This record gives sequence, C-alpha cells and structure tokens, in this order.
Amino acid sequence: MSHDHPQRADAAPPSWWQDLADTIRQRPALRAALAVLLALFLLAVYAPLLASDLPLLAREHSQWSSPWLNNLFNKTYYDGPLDPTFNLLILALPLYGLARWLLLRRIPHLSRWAGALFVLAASWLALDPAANYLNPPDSPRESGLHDLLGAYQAPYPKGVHDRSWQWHLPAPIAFSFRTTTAHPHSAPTWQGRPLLHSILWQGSTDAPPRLHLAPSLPRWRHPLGTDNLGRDLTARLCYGARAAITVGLAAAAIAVGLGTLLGLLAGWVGGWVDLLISRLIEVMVCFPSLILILALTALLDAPSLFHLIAVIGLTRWTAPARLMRGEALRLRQEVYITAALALGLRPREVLFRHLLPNAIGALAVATTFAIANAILVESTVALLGMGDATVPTWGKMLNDGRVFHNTAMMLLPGLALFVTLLAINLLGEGLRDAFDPRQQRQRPPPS
Amino acid sequence: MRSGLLAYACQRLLVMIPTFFTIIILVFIILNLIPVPPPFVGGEGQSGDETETQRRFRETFNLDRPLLFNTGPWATTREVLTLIERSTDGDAPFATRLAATRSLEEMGPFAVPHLSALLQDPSLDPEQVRLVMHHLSYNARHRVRGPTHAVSQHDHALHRAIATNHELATLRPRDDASPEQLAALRLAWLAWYERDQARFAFSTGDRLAATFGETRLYHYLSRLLQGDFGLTLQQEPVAAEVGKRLKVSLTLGVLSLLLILSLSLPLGLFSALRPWPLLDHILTALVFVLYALPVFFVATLAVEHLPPQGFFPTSGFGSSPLQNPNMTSAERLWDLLRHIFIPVICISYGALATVSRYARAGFIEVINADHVLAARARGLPTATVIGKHILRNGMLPVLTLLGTLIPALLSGSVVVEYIFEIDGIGRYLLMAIQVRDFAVIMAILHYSALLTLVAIFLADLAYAVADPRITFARRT
Repeated sequence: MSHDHPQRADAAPPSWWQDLADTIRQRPALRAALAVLLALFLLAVYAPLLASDLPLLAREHSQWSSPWLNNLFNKTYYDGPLDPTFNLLILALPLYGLARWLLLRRIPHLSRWAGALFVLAASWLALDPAANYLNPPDSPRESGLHDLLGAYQAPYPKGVHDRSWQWHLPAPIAFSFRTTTAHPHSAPTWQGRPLLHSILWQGSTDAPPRLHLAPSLPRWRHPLGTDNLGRDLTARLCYGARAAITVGLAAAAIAVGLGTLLGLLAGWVGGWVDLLISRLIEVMVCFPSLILILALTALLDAPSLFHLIAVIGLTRWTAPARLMRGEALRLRQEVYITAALALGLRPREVLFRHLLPNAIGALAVATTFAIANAILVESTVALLGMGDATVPTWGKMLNDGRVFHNTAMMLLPGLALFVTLLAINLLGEGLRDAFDPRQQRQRPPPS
Repeated sequence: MRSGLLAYACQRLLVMIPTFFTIIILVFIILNLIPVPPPFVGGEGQSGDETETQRRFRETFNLDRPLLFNTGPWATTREVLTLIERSTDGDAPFATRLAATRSLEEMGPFAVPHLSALLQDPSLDPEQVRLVMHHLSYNARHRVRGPTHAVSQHDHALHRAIATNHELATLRPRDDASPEQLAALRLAWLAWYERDQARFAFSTGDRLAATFGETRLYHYLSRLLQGDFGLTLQQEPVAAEVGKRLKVSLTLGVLSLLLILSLSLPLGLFSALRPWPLLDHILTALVFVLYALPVFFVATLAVEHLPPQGFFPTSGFGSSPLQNPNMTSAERLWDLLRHIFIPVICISYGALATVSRYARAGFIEVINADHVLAARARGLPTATVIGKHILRNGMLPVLTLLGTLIPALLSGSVVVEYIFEIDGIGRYLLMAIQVRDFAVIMAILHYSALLTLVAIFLADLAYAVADPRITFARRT
C-alpha cells in the first residue's frame, strides 16, 4: 500500500465506547431508561440506609455506637447471602468512586476494568474482617433463638431495642422488610401480629394476642402502608429491588454465557457438534418456558432464589445460542477472520479477539431482553406461590396482595415491575437501534 | 406445486418425529432423576422389606423397575446373596437396606433361580431365609396390572396368573413364623421350584430383551404409544384428566391466537403506511407499555376491580350448570364468551404488542422495496398494491413468529388460569406440582411440546405457501 493518500490520523474514528455514548446521548428514551435503571440499582444497594429496623446512630451510657453499621454484615441477621452481598456494595461503591478518582489521576494508563476489579476485591477483603470486628461474637444478636425470633417482630433486634437509648437516630423508615410490628413508641395496639408469634407468646404480653390479618392503614410511619402481616410496604419494595436485580443479572448471565458458548461452538466448529447443539436447541424450543421452569421447580423441595436463578438460566439459553450461532456462521465468512487465520492466529484467539467483539452488539441486546425475561419469570413463579418464601420479591408481594385483597400490595409491586421492565425493554430497543448496522449514524466526515 | 407442498409437509413431519421422541425421553429421564420417596408408610422401624402398600404404589405408578437398563437378568447368586445380606444388616442405614430390597424386587423373575439356590444354602440365618422366601413369593408372581375385579370371565391366562399369585401368597412366611414353620415352608418352596422350574429357565435372548424391555422407560413408552399416560395420584387415567382440561386451554389459546392475528396485522399495516404519523407514535408507545405490563399484574387487577358477577364474570370457564340448568346452546356459548373475554385479553395483549411490532417492521421493509415502487409506478391502484404486493410479503415475519407464539400463549395461560380460576391444563399443572404428581407433569409437558411442534409445522407450511420464492425442489 502506498502512503500517498491522506491519512486520517487527526480524525481517528470514534472508539466503540464513544460511539455508544454518542448514541445514548442522542436518544432521550434511552437516557431516561438508563437513569431509571441506575436509580433502581442505587435504591437496591442503599435500601438498608432508607429502611432499617436498626438505629443509624445511638448514644448510650455516654457512648456513641451505630447498631446499623454493626449489623450490616451480620450473617445471622439475614437469611441468605443476598443482603450481606448488597450491603457490601453500600461501602464498596463510594470506595470505588474515590479510588478510581485517585488512581486515574495518578496512573492515567490504568485500565478501568482492572481498577474496578481491584477496588471491589480490596473492599471485599477489607470489609469482611471489619464486619467481624464491628460485630463481635458476643453481640446480643447471637445470644439465642429468642433473639433471632425477636428480630422478626420488633423494629430493633431484641437485645438492642431493650436498651433505653439516651438518644438515637432511626433510619427514615424505621422498619426492615420483615419487621412485623409497629414502632415501640407508637400506640401499644400491636397490630398485625404474625400467627406464629401469637401462638408462641400467648399471654406473655399485656395486650391480648389476637390474629389480625387485616392490613393496617397507612400512617406517617409507614408512607405506603403495611402488608397483611404489618410489614412496611416501602421497605419491602426497596428490598424487592435487590431480589429483582439479582435474579435478572445472575439468570441472564447464566443463560447468555451458556448460550454464547454453545452457539459459538456450533457456528465455529460446525459438523456434528453443530448438529448436536442445533437439535438440542430445537428440543428446548418446544417447551413453553414457564411450564418447563415450573416442572423443574417441582423437583426441588423448597426452591431458594438461587435455585430459581439456576433453573431460569439453564432453560433460557436457546435464544442467545441461536443468535450467536448465526453470528458465528456469518462472521466466519468475513475476510478479516480469514486473514487472521491465515496470519497464523490460533482459533481461540480469533474467536475471542475478533469474532466475539464483533458480535457484542447483538449479544448486548440479547442480554438486555434476557434480564427482563428473567425478572418477569421469577415474579411469575413467585406469584404462583412456588418461589422463595424468605426473600421479599415483588411477585410474592403481589400474590400476598391478591390473596388478602389489598390494593396497595398489588399496585405497588406491580408498578415497580412495570417500570423496571419498561426501562429494560427501552434500553434493549435503544441498544438494538444503536448497534443496527443498517442504521445510518452520524460519523465525523472524513477529511 | 401442490405435490411439492405435500412432499415438503411429509418431510417436515418426518423430521419432527425424532424430535418429539427425544423430548419424551428427556422429560422422562429428567423428571425421574430424583429418588421416589417411600410413600405413605415405612420408616426406621421396618426390617428392610417393604410393605404391600408400598409395592402396590410402586406398581401402580410404574416405579417397580429400573429406570433405563435392567441388570437383573445378568445377576449371579453371589450378588443376590449380597443384596439379601445387605437388606438384613441391622447396622446399615435404612436407606441402604431399602435400596437393596428394591434392587432385589426390580430383578423380577430373574432372581428366582438364585433365590431358590440360596434356599439350599445352610449357612443362612433364619431371618435371611425368611427374607429369601418373602422375595420368592414376590419375584415369582405374575405382574397383574389394573383393577382385577372387572376382568372378563374368558381371560383364562389372566385367571391362571391370579391363581398362581394366590398360591405364592400362601407360601409367604409370616413375620412371627417359628423355626419349624420356616423349615416347612422352605421344603414347600423347594418343591414348588422343582415343579415350576420351567418358567424360570431364561435364554440369553430373554435376558437381552429384559435388559432393555423390563425398564420403566420402555414400559412408559410402550404405554404412551397406546395413549396411556399412566394414572394420577387419585388413580384416574392421566390422559382423560389432561384431555378434559386441554379442551379448555385450547379454547383460550385458539381464541387468543385469532384475536392476535386479526388485530396485529391491520395495526401493523396501518402503522407502516403512516397515514397519520402521530398515531404511529402513539401506537408504538402503546406497544411498549403493553409489552412491559406483566400478565399477572393486569389479570390480578381485573379480578380484584371488576365485579365478579358482572357482564364479564372474572372467574371460571362458563357458569356452573347448577346455577342456570336450562340454558340453550346459544345461551351457553354466549355465557362462555362472556366468561373468557377478559382472560383471552390478558393472555393475548403482550403477544399482540410483539406481533404488531413485527408486522409493522415487515410491512415497512416491503413498502420500501423496489417491486412495490415499481407496482406504484405502473399506476396500479393502492388497494391492489397493498393486497397483492405488500400484504403477502409483509406477513412473512409474522408467520415465522407463529412457532414461538404458541408456547408463549401456553405459558401465559398458566398464569391466567391460576388467577381467573379456570380449570385448564395450566392450573392442573400447578396442582400437580404441589402434590408432586409426576405422571401429570410429564403428560402436560408432552402435550405442550406436541402443540408447539404442531404450531411450528403449521408455521413452516404457511411460510412455504406465502413465500413465492420458496421452491420445494431445492429445500432440505
């Protein structure tokens, strides 16, 4: 090649990320969708800051303490690994922002992904011992079954709330997602006592225990009211976002990862591998997905949220697999792939450095829709009463509302789901338009 | 052209048979992966051998054979002895003893020669001898399925089998049998084996056939071919129970499909022609909203906020015949339509949004195509251009969607049937899952897979008819 025609070094073509950023900037719908999803993510991460049954700050015996922070990583305080993991992000996100700001100023060539990974790993390593330090083994939380049960009834864990604070600063909503009674300082009519409690503690309190299943009216303490067991709806909505995000991301990751792997294998290797995978896809496509997922959950005794994630991921991989198979078949014909192979690159390098990056657009769109679908399927399973009973998911809330004829309990999680799904779908459509090769895009004209 | 189409249809059908076969086997294997819990009775207190109730249960629900391959025909006397020892071993955990007992029972008549040989072995202790005789009486009997009270008088083979089983049952040792009684029984069993030995002389061919034939999979498949899906936990035939509810679900599905197609194509065409751009925008926004609204949310709101006995009742599939017993056929149909109007809307609105979007995209592509431009340039009237050039070609993306639409509608009808309390297969599936009725779950999975296959087949066929470019000679 001669060097006589003008080089475009001064007007380098925009990078892929810049291109994407430009596209997002040009589309208000896409921007709004991203903003909504970001807000949802922050709401999910900072749910304990908004709604917690522990005081953020307390003063007792002229000593300051923070029960909220003490129990943030207390594994006995939560049912599963979901909440402690999200709680880790509460501190890790600002740390990451700070570190990135510092690091990027110091080391300009640091890859942003390496930085992110470093900070997340470092905060994980640092926060876990810190949590153990903050939450020593002789903490009142771990002193027996009574305290554990108490935590589900009182706004503050039993041992903590029995103390008389000189002063304390509650969270804006002084209830966690499973706090079932009213605030201790409110009128002593203890509405919405759970069934188990009224059986176990019969006669132990001065107020006569009674089964009270009617949801209480919204008061200033409960901005959106409570559910049939007297649990705060706002808190449950916020914590429900955690479940939705976890299910969406994890199930979509499994489905898209598996689908990409199998699809690329089928399209790239061809032959009997392709035949086998294609037949498998054909068989999987024949099952109505919800019916298959419900049948598979029947095999599990008490499906947890993570079982559901696995089942959804393992049944929803066909769409990405078909897509990636098509992409691999198409891209294999491209000249640059042939050139790369002719240059002696190993097939694995060609696959991951040339083929996959070119298919990333289609993959991103498929991932977005897989996320929306996973959230929808999980909510449906929860609504049908077959989900994880310990996690406050929106579908479960909606089913409770349906059973107890409570409009707020139906409307709020339903709307939350609607907004989330709408935002994700808008994002997917926007990405599809952005990646569509047929779309004419504004590029800097060649000089 | 016609014969080409027929050949193409036959070819597609032939391809689908192995697919469906794979589906059946996969579903069977996956749903049989978990061990069957010992039903109703049993527990630590028992001595390895199972009660008659459990055996009956396992026989009724096709659980009394190995899952895929039967190794029983090739067992040796030594292995049988090991199993007997293991199931009488008081130190072993209950699960181990139960597993040994089950393996012995799954061997069927193939264990009988070995058990008889063991009876002559003097080294067995009395408990083991008792167990050997117990298994002899079980393994040597004929397998008689189904209710025996309604058997025809002239079925002599069956009557002989029942008589043999009765004789074997009288030889079964009682739990509290004394050593003298056991010794007498032992002699009786040896005499019996001398007499009936011929029944238990198996050739290699017999053994090979049993290796693959005496299995749960084979029996399930062979009965499936006769349309027998087994029994529900209430001991009713699954095929009839599911078929009854399938009619309800199919009514919902077909009506939804008709609604979707009859609305989405005009909507898509209208959107694509853009006589009024604002309307197109509104329709697009509406499509997004409908697509993101979860079915269960809308259905729940409808059930909660519409009067349950209003013009559109929100529960059930038609009024109860007890309420108004004297309805004419037309009234019954009208009543049915009123009942399922809202469920059908709930099932179809999401798919309606998707399909109309696909239709719009397809029509836009065709409208901008050269041949449409040429047709317009020739001065053809707009109606002709739309009818002959746009509609047929623009429908193609919708037709490809048809194959995925049916499973989506079936999934949607599960939720809608649950919320509107319609007794279709979706609701039946949920009930079956709650009581772990695997025969029903398998049957529903098979039916829905078959429906999907049929839909894919019809979609392929419609595509072939609609797309003039497809020539049947070259397609594989």
